[in-house]
Amino acid sequence: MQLARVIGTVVATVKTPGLQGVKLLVIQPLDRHQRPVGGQLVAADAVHMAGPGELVYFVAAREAAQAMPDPFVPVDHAIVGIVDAVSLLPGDEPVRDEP
Amino acid sequence: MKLGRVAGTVVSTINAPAFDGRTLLLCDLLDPAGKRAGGYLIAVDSVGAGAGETVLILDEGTSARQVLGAPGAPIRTVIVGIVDAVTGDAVTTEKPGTPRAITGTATTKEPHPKEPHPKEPRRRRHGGTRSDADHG
Repeated sequence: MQLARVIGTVVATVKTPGLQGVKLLVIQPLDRHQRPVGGQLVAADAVHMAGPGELVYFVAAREAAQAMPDPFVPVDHAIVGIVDAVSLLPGDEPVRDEP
Repeated sequence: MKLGRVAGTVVSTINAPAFDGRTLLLCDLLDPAGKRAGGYLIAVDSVGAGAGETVLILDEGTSARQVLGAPGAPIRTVIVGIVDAVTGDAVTTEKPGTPRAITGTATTKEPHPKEPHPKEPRRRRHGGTRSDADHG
């Protein structure tokens, strides 16, 4: 699982039947200092309460579909929680040359 | 499985029901020498790992659900061990001839220790009849 920021929504009228009623959000994966890392993704919202601007964590692969009410849906990324806080160890500050 | 170091915690109240009551730890991925390999994972704790500890991370869904005893849960990443030491050639690739182990707190923790029930079982009175004490 990884941190991500919700940056948009996706509206699709014509969908494969398994995706009917599934809310789709555009997310930007983040590193542990909440800086963008990697490409943006479309993820299904399994908590039904995430919205643009929120810090969330998501699960990828087959487990994403497990998060949905019907686990046999074509979903490969799902938001499974809204983050209240991330606390890092003291002294763990962002540095420029971090991998 | 992967080696990681617990770098922090993630707190979440609105989440998928399978995550209720579970601890989420943010773990940096490590190479065998104990250096950051780049990237991190948010993992569900199953052993009681603490901040700064080197841990063993399982990143595969079926096994993860088996470890947690949660079939059907959307969980893929679980901490399954606390690493005491890593030894061997992989650890000494940088400086040959100087074996070196990952520094970590050597702890042996029982997973999910069950606390004894604080109250003693109540002695029940016989319903509607006199108790044994009254006979004496």
